[in-house]
Amino acid sequence: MLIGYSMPLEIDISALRNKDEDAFRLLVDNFGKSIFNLCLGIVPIAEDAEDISQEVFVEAFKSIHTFREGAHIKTWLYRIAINKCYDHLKFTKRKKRFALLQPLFNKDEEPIEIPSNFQHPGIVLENKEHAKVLYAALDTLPENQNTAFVLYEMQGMNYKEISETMSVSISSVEALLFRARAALRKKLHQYYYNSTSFKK
Amino acid sequence: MEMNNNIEREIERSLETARGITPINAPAQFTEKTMQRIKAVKEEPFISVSVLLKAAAVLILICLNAYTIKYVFESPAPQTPTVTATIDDLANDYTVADVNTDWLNNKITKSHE
Repeated sequence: MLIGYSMPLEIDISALRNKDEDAFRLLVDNFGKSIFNLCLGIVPIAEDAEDISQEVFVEAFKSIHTFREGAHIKTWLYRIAINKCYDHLKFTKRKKRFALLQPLFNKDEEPIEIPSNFQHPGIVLENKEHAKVLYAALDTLPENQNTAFVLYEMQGMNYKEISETMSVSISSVEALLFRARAALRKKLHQYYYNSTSFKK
Repeated sequence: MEMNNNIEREIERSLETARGITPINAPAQFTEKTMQRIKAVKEEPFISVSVLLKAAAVLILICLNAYTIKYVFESPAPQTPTVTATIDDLANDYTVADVNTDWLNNKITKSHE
């Protein structure tokens, strides 16, 4: 069975199921860039994003038998990538050590922390400071809001593609994006208000 | 008022950066590195040594537990001799004679000296 999904080359799913190396090479060639950019959207550290992207394809190799007939390979890979990115964030972030205690506190009150190791190669220098603040604010959002925002605003995906990737309805995607934007505005307002007051 | 406008401007600029991210190419040798990792996974034995060791450890623990449980249930309960003690026996056991009073006598002699 051959599936083409906004890509010039077609991926042979049956060859992938047979763990054919050439088929996987073609898969990496075709989707390596988009998966890497997606990972960078969630984990803005180039080395980590590269490592996670490679892990995505290794995971795809291991679990290709779970790939549903008729599904889009890109959507499937994106789902693996999103899960891997959040696993990575959970593993590395110090504050996540106290994840059990987090539901006890109101997440809205959580102040944003500017990452010190931010190195997104796709952001021009003049935007870097604003991007840092944006990423720090994104980091405080719930995972599904964060994902919807990254897929829509950074990856340029449409509602339908996002709903397929996140396995939710289109109206849920709209709601998630609305809530994500509102929460981001609130966080950014808090941050800039505090920094402006501090400067004064 | 001016401060609010500045904040709004900063917020808009921050949100704009999300749309302004340039898609970049995958790092050099990305495909090769990924294929190497895939090959390493492919060549991995179905059951690795570490998995075997873990399984062996679990098996040993299960065997030990089973043996302990079996031992506990199968060993006869300790037979305690039935003793009928009277109040006189108790009194005899705890007579004044049992109390060693040498230390007291020594103390008294020393103080007299």
